[in-house]
This record gives sequence, structure tokens and C-alpha cells, in this order.
Amino acid sequence: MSGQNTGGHGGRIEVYRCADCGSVMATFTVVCHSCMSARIEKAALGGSGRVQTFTILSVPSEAFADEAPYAYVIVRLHEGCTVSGWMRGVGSPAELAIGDEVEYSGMRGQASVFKKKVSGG
Amino acid sequence: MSKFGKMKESSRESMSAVSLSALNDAGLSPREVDSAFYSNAFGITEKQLHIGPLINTSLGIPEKPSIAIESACSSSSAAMHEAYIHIASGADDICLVAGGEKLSHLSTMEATSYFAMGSDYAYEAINGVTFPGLYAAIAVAHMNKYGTTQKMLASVAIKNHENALSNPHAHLHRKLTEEAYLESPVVAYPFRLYDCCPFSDGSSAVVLASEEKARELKDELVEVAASERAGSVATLQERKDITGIDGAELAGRKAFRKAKISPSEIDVAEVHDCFTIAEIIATEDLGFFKKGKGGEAAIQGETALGGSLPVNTSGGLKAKGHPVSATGAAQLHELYEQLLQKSGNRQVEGAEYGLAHNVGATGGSCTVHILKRRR
Ligand SMILES: CC(C)(COP(=O)(O)OP(=O)(O)OC[C@H]1O[C@@H](n2cnc3c(N)ncnc32)[C@H](O)[C@@H]1OP(=O)(O)O)[C@@H](O)C(=O)NCCC(=O)NCCS
Ligand SMILES: [Zn+2]
Repeated sequence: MSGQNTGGHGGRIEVYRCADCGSVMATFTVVCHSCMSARIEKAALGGSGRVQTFTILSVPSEAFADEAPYAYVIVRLHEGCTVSGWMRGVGSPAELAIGDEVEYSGMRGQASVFKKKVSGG
Repeated sequence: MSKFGKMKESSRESMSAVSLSALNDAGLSPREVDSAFYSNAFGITEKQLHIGPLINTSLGIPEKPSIAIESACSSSSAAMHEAYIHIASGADDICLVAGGEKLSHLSTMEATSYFAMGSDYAYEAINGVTFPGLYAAIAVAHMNKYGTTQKMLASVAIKNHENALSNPHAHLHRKLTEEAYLESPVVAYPFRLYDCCPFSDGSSAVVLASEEKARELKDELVEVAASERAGSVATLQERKDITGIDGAELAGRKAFRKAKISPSEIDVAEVHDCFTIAEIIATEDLGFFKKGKGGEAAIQGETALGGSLPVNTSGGLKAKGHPVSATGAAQLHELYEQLLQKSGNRQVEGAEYGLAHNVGATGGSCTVHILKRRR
């Protein structure tokens, strides 16, 4: 099985969409969680949204051992589903808050990298 | 149960020893066991799977059926539930449940990596989050929504370290002050070292018997008034609200209905405090306190010994320790002693009903047991 990350290219993030009711789901599924339809298709979203919650890891995971501290974020995409991601160089809660605008900016290994949105909205 | 902490023995040795002592305590020979339910989620780190027949053989009962049950941190409460179903169905009269884990041969990094396999690896671990990180993200959301504070988190850790001082089985026997908490290193914002349970070794076992058999064995009994399980979406990103665990709420509601009591009738509770926020959320999900009020209840001492509902008198996962697969059965061990008034300095006077709440990972699997003193 592939995660959300194997298909993310060029600022887009791969998700699952129900061909019957249009619901969008970020996590691997074989049925639609709204209508139970099994007609699930892959789709790509623009990848910008708001931070729903986050943490800043000082004790890193193995794959990010050289990157601590960094942030793990759960992001509510403007297009209507919620994804997880990684943010480089966030060292203190003064630098990140719930509600901050962030955007998907590609991958680091298999992780989905998010960055703070720079102006313009 | 064994002393939690660092052990020399393998899981196989330790689980066999606690199984035999639980059977002896019940006045039984291993030969009287009908089925055995074992949990050893991280046995693979000891290069051993399929531990059931090894333990049965060491107990002299290789011919008995055994099964290993894995449900992350809730493994042995899930095993207990299966044993309960075997007895309730009439299939068995006596079941043995044991859980154990050895982790001290792993570095912190290795253990963290193994534990991450209990998350939704493809979406969570892959993005650099660890278990402390997942619960930290839950804490950030809870603090943002309800105004839960760092001092409230600290109060949970301080209480559980205090309780562990009078539990000889506990891993950490160290009084914790707010100053020491605040000076301890940050692990994953907002968690400091003392918000986290340690990596522990240890084993625990429970013997479950039908009412008829149990009456033949002992005068003082503890009844399983409810054994209920439920689930939640495993992946935090798919949950509607991460400030609670809906599977735990559901398992709790089912358990109270089954036992025909309300949350206010519980005298003592062991809840899954792998991280300080987890205890706060558990006390809300179970209906002991209103949503968002668990932190306030903790800092006001309501969950301390002598409070309105003593929670984690054993020291909890926080200070008693968290040898993953041993935890669910160890919670039941604490309640068993509490209900039989054998808890010494940490005794809750006259306890009649105890509740155990055990969740796997961030709540994908949830078990709630209600135990009742029988005379
Ligand atoms: C918090 C954590 C990172 C600390 O690990 P660490 O920094 O490697 O700590 P060490 O093992 O080096 O221990 C250092 C000291 O702190 C103590 N200690 C370790 N973890 C502790 C904890 N969680 N609480 C209190 N004391 C702890 C040790 O006993 C040791 O004391 P000593 O020096 O007197 O012997 C680690 O315990 C952890 O990740 N815990 C969470 C486990 C987990 O995720 N469980 C699954 C839950 S779902
Ligand atoms: Zn649909």
C-alpha cells in the first residue's frame, strides 16, 4: 500500500475521492465514509490550508534524527480534507500556531513537507 | 505481576513466572486452565513470535490451546476480553491471561521506531511523528479548545509519581515536584520528560473463572461486571475531533450499561495515562468530568487519593511504567487489590467498583472493564 506521499507532485497532494458523492478522504480507503460507495478514485489537491494541530519534536524519529527540532502538523486543506505533514526548522511554539496558513511544498523522502504561506493568502 | 522497570529475564521467562504465581494465588494448578490468552506485542524485538506454546510448555500444559493477541498498548485488556467471552459463552471454566514486554535491550531510538509501527505508519510515522508527538498534537488541540494548561498536565504527573511511591511494583519511585517537571527537557511540545511514560519491562497475569468455579476456589472475589471494547479511526487526521477518543467513550458507555451503574458509582479507576493529557482526556471520555474539565479536576486534586475519584492509584503508566502488553492486565491487578482492600498506603477505603480503561495507540482500540467486589 502507498501512503499519501507517493503520489504528491508539483505542489499537489494525492487523496481519495468518492465518484458517487464527491467526498474527499486523505487516508487510504476502499469505501466512501459518507455514503459507503466503493467507487473510490485518486485525486490531487492544491495542498494549502490551515494548521489544525501540531507538535514540535525535540526527540526526533529515526528518519529525522538530524533535523530536530521540527514540527509535525495536521493540516485542514481548503479543498476539504485533512492531511499530515512535516515542517523543517520550527523550533518553538512562538513560530507556529493553530490556524496558521501553510502550503504543501513537495516531499522529503516519503514525508509531505509543508511551509508557512508567505503573504498574499 | 512482576516488578516493572528493567528486568533481566526474557518476556517468556517473566510471563511464565507471573502466570504461575497468578494460578497459585487462585489455588489452581496449570492443568486446570482451559485456554490461555497471551500478549507480547514487541516480542519480535526479542526475535520471538508465537510465545503461547512456549509459556504453556513451561507451565507443563503444552496440550492446552493458547493464542497471542496484539492490540498495541491495549493488548492484554483485549486478551482479557477474549477470555471473558470464552467464559461467558460457556466454552471454558478457567482462562489464563498474561501480558509481558521486554524493551530495555533497545535504545530510546530503536524503541521509538518500533512503537511508531503502532501508529498509521504511512501517514503519521512517515511524517516524522513519534508516539509522544501524536499525543502532544492531541494536547495542543485540547489546550487550544479548552484552555487546559501546562500546570494541569504537570499535576497529573506529580500525582501519579506520588502514588507510585507506595506501589512496590512501580518502575519509577521518584517524587516529582512542579519545579523538576518544568526543568525537565522538552520531548515534543508541550510535553516534557515527565509528561511521558517510560519504556518499561514487566509482566502481569490474570486468572478468570466462571462464577461457579470461582466460588469453589475463593471466598473473596472480584467480579467482571463489564468487559467492553470499541474502536476509533486510527489516523488522527481523519478524526472529527481529536480532543477526545470516541472509541473510549463508546466502550465506556457500553460498560456502564452492562454493569448497570453510572460513572459516579466508580470508586477507583485505572486509566491509560501514557502521556499526561491522555489521563485528562480519559476522565472526560468516561464521563467522570465534563468535556474540557478533566485538567481542572486533576489540578484541584479530585483524582488524587482522597479526592472524589482516585485515578491511577498504582502510579499509572506514567510512574508504574508501561511495558506495553503488560499494562492492561496490570491495571486489573491494581483494581483487584483495591477491591479486596489489599492496597496498603494507597488503599481507597471501601472501594466497591473499579474501572480500567486501556487504549491501543492513539485510541484505535479501546477496552473498558468494570470490576465489582463480591462477598
Ligand atoms: C521520554 C523519553 C523520550 C525519555 O527517554 P530518554 O531521554 O532516553 O531517557 P533515558 O532512558 O535516557 O532516561 C534518563 C533518566 O530519566 C528517567 N526516565 C526516562 N523516561 C522517563 C519518563 N518517561 N518519566 C520519568 N523518568 C524517566 C530514567 O529512569 C533515567 O533516570 P536515571 O538517569 O536516574 O536512570 C522516553 O521515555 C519515551 O519516549 N517515552 C514514551 C514511550 C512511549 O511512547 N510509549 C508508548 C505510549 S502510547
Ligand atoms: Zn460517497
